Amino acid sequence: MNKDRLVDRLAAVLGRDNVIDAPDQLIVYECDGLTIDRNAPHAVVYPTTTEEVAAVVRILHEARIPFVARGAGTGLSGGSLPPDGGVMIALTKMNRIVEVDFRNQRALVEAGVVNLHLSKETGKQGYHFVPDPSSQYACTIGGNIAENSGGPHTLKYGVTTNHTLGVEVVLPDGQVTWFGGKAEDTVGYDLRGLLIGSEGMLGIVTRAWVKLTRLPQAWRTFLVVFDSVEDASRAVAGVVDRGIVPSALEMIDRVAIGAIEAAYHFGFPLDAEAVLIIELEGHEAGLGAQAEAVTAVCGDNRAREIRTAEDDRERALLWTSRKRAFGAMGRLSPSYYVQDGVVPRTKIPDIMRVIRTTAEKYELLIGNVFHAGDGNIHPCIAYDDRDEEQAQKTVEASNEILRACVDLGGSITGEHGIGYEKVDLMPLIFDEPDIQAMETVKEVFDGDNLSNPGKMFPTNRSCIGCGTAELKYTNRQAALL
Amino acid sequence: MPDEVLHSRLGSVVDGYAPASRETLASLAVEGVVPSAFVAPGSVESLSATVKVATELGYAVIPRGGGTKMDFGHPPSRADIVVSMERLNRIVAHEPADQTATVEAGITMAGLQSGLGKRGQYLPLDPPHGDACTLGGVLATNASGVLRTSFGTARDMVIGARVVQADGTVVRSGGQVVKNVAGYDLNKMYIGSLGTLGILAEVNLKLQPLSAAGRIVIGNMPELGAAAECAFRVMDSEVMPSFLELANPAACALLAGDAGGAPVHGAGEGSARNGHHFTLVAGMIGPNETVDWQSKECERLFRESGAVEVVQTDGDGYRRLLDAMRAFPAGRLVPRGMGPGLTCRAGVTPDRVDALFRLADEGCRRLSIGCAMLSHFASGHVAFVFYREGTFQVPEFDGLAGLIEALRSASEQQGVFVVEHAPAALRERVGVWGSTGGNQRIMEMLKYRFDPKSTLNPGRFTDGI
Repeated sequence: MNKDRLVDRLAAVLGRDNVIDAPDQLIVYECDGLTIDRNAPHAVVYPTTTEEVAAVVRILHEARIPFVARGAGTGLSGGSLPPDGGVMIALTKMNRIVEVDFRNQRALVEAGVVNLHLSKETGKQGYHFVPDPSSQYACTIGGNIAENSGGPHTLKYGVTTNHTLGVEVVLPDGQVTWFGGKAEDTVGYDLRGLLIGSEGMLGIVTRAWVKLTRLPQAWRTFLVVFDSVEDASRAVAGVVDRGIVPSALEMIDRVAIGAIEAAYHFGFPLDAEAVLIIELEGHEAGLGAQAEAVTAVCGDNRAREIRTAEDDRERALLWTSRKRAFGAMGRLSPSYYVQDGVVPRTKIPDIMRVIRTTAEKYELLIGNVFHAGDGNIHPCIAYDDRDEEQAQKTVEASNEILRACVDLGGSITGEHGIGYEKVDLMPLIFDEPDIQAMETVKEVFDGDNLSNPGKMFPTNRSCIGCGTAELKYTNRQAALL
Repeated sequence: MPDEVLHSRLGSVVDGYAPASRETLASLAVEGVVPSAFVAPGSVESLSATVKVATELGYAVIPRGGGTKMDFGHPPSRADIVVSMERLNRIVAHEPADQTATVEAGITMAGLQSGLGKRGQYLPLDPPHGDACTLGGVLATNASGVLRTSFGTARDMVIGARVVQADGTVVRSGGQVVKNVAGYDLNKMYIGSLGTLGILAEVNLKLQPLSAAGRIVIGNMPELGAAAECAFRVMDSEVMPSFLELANPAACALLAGDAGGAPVHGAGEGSARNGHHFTLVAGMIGPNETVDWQSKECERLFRESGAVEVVQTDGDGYRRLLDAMRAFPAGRLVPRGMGPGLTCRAGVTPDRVDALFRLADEGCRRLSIGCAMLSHFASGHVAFVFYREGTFQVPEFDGLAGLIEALRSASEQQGVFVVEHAPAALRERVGVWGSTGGNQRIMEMLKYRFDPKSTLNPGRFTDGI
């Protein structure tokens, strides 16, 4: 089908206003939060209902045109990078909170609902949606489901899959079905669990029943200052070792502190090597004892200073500073590149050493602001994307850090997903048969390889995920060769 | 094919293999189907080779853990080789500081918990048959217990797995870290698949620290409506109990008996005498101070909601009642002199729990049978034990089938209804699993692609998978 004819057919379903195909408008959609890889879609469509999504997918399936769903485009692994000649299905107009059922503590939302909006809507009644990615003021719940997103507070409460009861899915052939539903239990294979985190490759989620969680009665938020990253790392292990499960346990190093302080003026000590944000949540009774235990552990590990957030306002500012840290890194260089490796939490001192030596080796500035409590690191590399050599060094350094994570018993992604970014790193953690098992699932759901092709599976292999969606951008490939 | 070939091939891949005696095989019959071989591989490699042999020769494999749920699901269409996981029972690694462990799937839950407990941790999963069942069996059936209210089910705890596929290939999914989104989350697919897509050989688990204290608050409510309302009030409060159970009078009496009487005397024996109290059991786990506050607040809510009697218990009483609730519906199922025969479970939204209780109660009254019901209320899970004097007889199956169908149709409006244990003829009539919500075709395709020759547990899963 030629492009004009395709656009006409899509416009017939959605209205002309809901189809974009002018090159200057498409530029906006050529990448997500991973700006190092770019590829403009053929067209972008804005369906407003599940039926419209299904109608669009049926047209694309019939014409064998690949497609990718997109929420807010805040993803950091190129998960919604458009496939060549593909159509982007933007779900931002499907942003209704359809039903909030406080009695059963769950809500039915459309895929385009902004994560934070649900928590704001339910907060008045004392509830929230737990997964809180740093981009939660913008990212959508559909995107959270596709990537199985986390956030600082998932340490205690679990990630998106632990809070999603059921998903309405438009399958790659345009059929609509539910995996799971409003109730917790399902019968048969757990297609819900399989779909969550499948990065839009098994179908497009249009609506979901998600759990709402009672807000805690009380909290204590500490900012703990250290003169060395090692001491801060040992304090993290010490807290976990005492059987304390904080709701969040974050580390920020000197480079990131500088950037954040310049942007938000929270009052972080600029001369500190590392700070920990430790948040305890629960019942007022008993929280004091936990707070004392945490304070003691930090003291034992040579904390220089332990500050306590005095009120809601201070706590909110602290979290805003933390969650917008990547943005603040933008003050240090034209671009930044964030990684998402995981190590067993006891190995944080080791991986922090690796990051430091890698930064020195490649002469790059790397800031760290990450979920220390569950070992999920986020080295943020400052670079100039106009400098091709530096861009390449950035990718190389980042891959080196991820390899070290794997060597320490960890993973290459904790919450951002494999996306397009890390397809060729998959063999670091999975053997061929493991990847084949995943491809078998892909083939069952999407035998024509239309739903977000070119993601997750390594390239240069004789598989269905390869060949049809070769991307033009070469920085990454060059770095990997 | 003569069995000699099978025995010789199994002998070549499993240490110390000897063909089992006729008596042993007869005792391992799966719903009347007597297997040709029984084998207990001692390593993942040996397990893999065993399954490969079976698929090559066209034999069906029935994986077996503790053997506590061998009649769950439909009777297998074939059952040639019973593969016991009993020798794959090691804790391979336990990293307390990382709160993770790697264990072989044939370990019993009791063995697992006592091993982890030595270093102050546990897996917060407490299904029925806790002492005898194996972790692999619990995962294959996705069984859970009262703690699911606060910690979720196995799908919230398994972070990685090694699975033996039907062709013998060993595949890994997930990893060893608590947070990981690399690749499709195949762990979820294997959990609850009744071994039909592969055999879980080894799993990586996310653990929790053992808590300082536990206490139970028991509230006897005058009638069902008040009990359900009170449960909602507790859910919406700051108490946040670790579990919240609703029991009908018959279940209460059973729990009181199983729990040794004393701590739940008021709740169990008393209400059995009165015959119409519905009981809420809220559990608090955590630091002493927190548990104290929660218990006090919970007691206040129970009383304000019209509880006839409120009892708090900790220490031995707490453990005994907790064990009894965990054993339900697999413990001492029925009142003395009554015969067990039919257990079911429903998974609905909490606001439909009381309607299911009523529906079951009315149905049982019509059929003149008894029914004990226990609900993990906040999870919308209800376990039903139907009983009568003696055992259920074929002429009664009409009535029972009608009751099951009524409960299933009420549950499936927004949930599921599964027949867990029933005479084979009754299971055949009403089906075990109920509706897969229009997704049967995808499930069959997954089964076909992962196990094209239908080697693994053939026929036992949904609609003949």
